[in-house]
Formats: sequence, structure tokens, C-alpha cells
Amino acid sequence: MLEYVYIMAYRQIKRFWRARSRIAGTIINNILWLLFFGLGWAYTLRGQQFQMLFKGLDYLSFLLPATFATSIFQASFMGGISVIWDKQFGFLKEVLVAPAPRYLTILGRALGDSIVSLTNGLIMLAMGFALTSRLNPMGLPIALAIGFVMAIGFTSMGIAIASSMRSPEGFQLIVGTVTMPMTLLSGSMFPLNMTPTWMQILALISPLTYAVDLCRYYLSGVSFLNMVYPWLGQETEILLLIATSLMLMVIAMKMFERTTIE
Amino acid sequence: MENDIVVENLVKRYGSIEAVRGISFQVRSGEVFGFLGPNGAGKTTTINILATLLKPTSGKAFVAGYDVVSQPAKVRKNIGIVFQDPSLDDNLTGYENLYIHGRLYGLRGQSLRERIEEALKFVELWEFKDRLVRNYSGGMRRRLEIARAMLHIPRILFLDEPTIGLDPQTRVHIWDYIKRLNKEYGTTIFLTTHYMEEAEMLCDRIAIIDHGKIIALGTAEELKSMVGSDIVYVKLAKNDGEICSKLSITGVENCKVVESNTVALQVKKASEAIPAILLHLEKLEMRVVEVSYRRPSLNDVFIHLTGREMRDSEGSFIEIARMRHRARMR
Repeated sequence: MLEYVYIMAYRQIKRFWRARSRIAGTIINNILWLLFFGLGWAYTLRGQQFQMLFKGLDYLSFLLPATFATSIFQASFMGGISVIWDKQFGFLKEVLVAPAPRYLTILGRALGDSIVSLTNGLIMLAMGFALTSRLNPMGLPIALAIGFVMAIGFTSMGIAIASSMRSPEGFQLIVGTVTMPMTLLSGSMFPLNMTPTWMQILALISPLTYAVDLCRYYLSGVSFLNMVYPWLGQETEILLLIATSLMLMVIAMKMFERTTIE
Repeated sequence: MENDIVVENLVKRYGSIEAVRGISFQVRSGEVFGFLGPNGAGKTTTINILATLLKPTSGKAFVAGYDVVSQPAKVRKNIGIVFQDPSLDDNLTGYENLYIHGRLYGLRGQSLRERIEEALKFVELWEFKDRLVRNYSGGMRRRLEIARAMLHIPRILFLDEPTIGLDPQTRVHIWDYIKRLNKEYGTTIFLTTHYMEEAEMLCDRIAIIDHGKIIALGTAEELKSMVGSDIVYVKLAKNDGEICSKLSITGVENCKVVESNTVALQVKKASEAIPAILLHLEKLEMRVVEVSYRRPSLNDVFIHLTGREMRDSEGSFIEIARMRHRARMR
């Protein structure tokens, strides 16, 4: 059972490790984003009056934990494209014709891609710790656990969508249209409590919002969701996140079972 | 004899297109069985159904005794397959490709390492095992795919157009691997091809398939005997319209003028008939410029059955033994 999961995870990680240029590209992207977006706003919102907006946080300690979550989200979701590459380059047939159960091979794939995108997030977070001393290192283990749960969920989402698609262009189009609004709505760049109600409702539908809020809570000590919705404690958020990830995982398994080579 | 593959009235329809139109056949254990037919005849569709990758529209198929529709997992355990299109992971090394394959088939540890070494040495790729597949040549990739398909020592090996797009030298190598696999491991082999000489060289029995139907099935010799005899071509120095009437000697079953000064003679056995024909022509004092003969090829069988040539076929399959008879100037 687990050996099938292991071997596919092994393959995904090995492939990632081989693509050094991709790793370098991700790191450079992250640095540029943090420098120009993060520091830009951090300097703009430097005064006392602005810290009110962020419940006493400065902008960097508001932004960095959220960036950890959103970078995992983006990398995970995008990871689904490898299913389409495998369709195009034929390796998918090799997996489909193997006696290993498909739901286990796809689980391994999600696991491997999750570890890869968690690594992405960690690189981002390491830069965060270098930029500000206000992040709480004690929150790191639980932030990693949250990152892992969401990575499983979002890689599954990517796999599920990719399973029913043929072209990488089509997949990229979907990723583009889904990633941007979800990243913005998650409250990663601005506090959600200031936004209109309809936007808050939309935000509450997206699991990324909970992941962002949880990471911020454990790394910086402030939960914005909890302030607006007192019933939304950390435990509830964690449960919701786990439930969504599990659900997406099951959907991915079902979708992949139905993949054909036609 | 036991059958490793049994197919009964198999049909596969894509919308209104019928790719496979009710085929039935059996493949015996240890046999090399070939599907010969033009592109688009339904060969790949059949292989994909037998390998559990496609569901048939109707009909039954059993591989290694298991139903491909209701017991796909058991079928998958017993088969290896080399797809027509590449299916390797380009970003991994040859060794890693085999390692992942082995693990997906439940092999592990020392026995997996030994199997990988054996398979890679079998296809002479052991020294390239740590090279990324993306840097392999086309022939090396094909060999690696064969090594991968045999890694778990399947009972039945499917090869979909195993030498398509390969240079002649590599093709001969691949044929050698296939024959050795069949002999040394006793693997039952089901292959598809549109190369006549490939079918003839490798297959114990051949099914000729066209437009989703099997139109003939048998050994290469049996199929050829459907067409009949050898054909001897004699090119004469001078045009003679009456030549056929002069050539009514024993052994010549049929005579036809094919070009102005060339006649085609249908004979039982060319090697025995040619000396007699030449002797006869010498007596008639007719100068012979060129003599050639041709055994009926599978292409002739295909033409005989369908009335057209097999598309994409190459010239090299015709077994032509050219004999130049230079008539001495008097």
C-alpha cells in the first residue's frame, strides 16, 4: 500500500530536484516580490496610525506569514500541471497500466508535490525571518503542519482539474483565473475586517483564507478572522481546513481514477 | 495448448466511428503473435483494450485468464507493454525509470536491483544507466522501454509498433531482443506492426487487420499460400508479342507480358523453374537481358485480400533475389 504512495512521491521530488533552474527561478521570484511589494508597503505604512489597521502588527509581520501560506497555495495548485505534462509525454500511461492502485499513486503524487511546495514556502519564510525579528519561531512547527495540510488540499485541487484537461495552456488559464482572486481574497495583503461584507463572505468560502489566518496567528499572534467572527476560533479553522483538504483529496482520487488515455 | 489471450467479438466505437469491428482470435502461450495492418486499422485500440487502458464497447477479452474489464488489476500484474508513443520520464535517469517501474509492480530491495541490472544489460544500456533519459537517442529510449516492460518478467508482453521510426540497424537489434525475450523467458508476445518484414521475421502467427477487422490469420507461409506461386520476371532484348505462346513449357502456370519486353511467369518454385526457362529461351535464340524473381510477400497477400497496397509500407520487404544474366555477345 504505502510503497506505491512512497514511490510516486519519490518521483515527484526527484523531478523537482532535477529542475534546478525552476528552484532558482522560484527563489528569485520570491525575493523580488518580498523586496518590491513587501518592503514597499512596509515603508509606506510605517507610522503608528497604520499599526492600528493591522492590530498592532507592522506590515511585514502582517504580510510574511500570509506569504508563506499563499506561496504554498500557488506552488501546490500549479503542481497539477505535471499531470498534463505526463499525459503529453506519455508517462501517465506507464502509471495507469501498472498494477498499483490509481488512488494510491495519485496520493503519492499529491504527497510529493506537497513536500515540494512546502519547501517553497519554507524558503519564503526563511527570508521572512531574515527581514523581521517579530515573527515567532515557536509557531513554526504548527505553521508547517498547516502548510502541509493545505498543500495536500491544493495539490489535490490541481490534480483533479488537470485530470480532466488535455492542454497545459488550458490548465494555466484556470490556474491564472483562480489563483489571483483567491490570493487577494485570502486577506494576505490587506486586513479582511475592513472589506465589505460580500467580500468577506466570498473570502470565507475559500479555504486559503483560513490557512492564511492560521499561519498569521501562529507566527505573528493575531487572527483577523477571529476578531470579526468570534465563533471562528483556531480549532474550528483547523478543522475546516483539514476537512476541505480531505475532500479535495478524495475528489482528486476519483477524478484520476476516471482519467483515460484518449 | 493453453491460450494466453482470448478475444471474442471485440468492438470499440468512438461516437459513430467503429475502430474495432468485432474481432476474435486467440494467442497461445509462448507464441509471438502479430497484428499486421495499415495505420488506423485498429491495432493500437486493440492493444489498449487488452492492456486495460480502454473499455471495449462490446465483446469479451481475456488476458492471462482474466477478464480485462472486470479484473483489470490481475491483468495488469501479468502484462508488460511498450507503447507506440514514448512513455518514459525524461527528467529521470534510465535506472530511475526502471526503479520506479519496479516499485509500481511490487518489486523491491536486492531482487529489484538485480532485475534492473539484468534488464539493462539485456538491452545493452547498463553503461548509460545514470544518464538522463532526455539525453538518450531514439533507439536507446526504445530499448529502455523494452527493458522496463520486461523488468517484472510479465507473462505476456505487448509491443505496439516496436520499431516505428527507428533506423534499420536499431530495428535489427530490437528484433533480436524480442526473439531472445521470447526464447529465454518464454514470454508470450503480442505485437502490432505495419512493417511486413517485421511481422514475417518475428511472428509465429500473423493476423492481418484492416478497417477494424481481421481479414486473414495464420503463419506467414499459410498467408502467402493464399496468393500462391512465385513470379519470375524475364526481360528480353527484343520485343516479342508472341512470347507467351512460345513459353508454354512445364512448370510455367501463367504468363503475362508486363512491359513491352518483360514477361511475368507464374511458377511453383522459381529456383527450379529459372534454369529450364533460360534453357528454353536459349533454344529459341532469344537474348535475355535480365532475370529476377519474387516470392509472394505479405504485401501481395494484403493486395490480394483488399485490392490495395498497405499504406506506409516500405520497399525493403519484398524478397527480391536479383540475378543478372548477361547474355554473351555472339
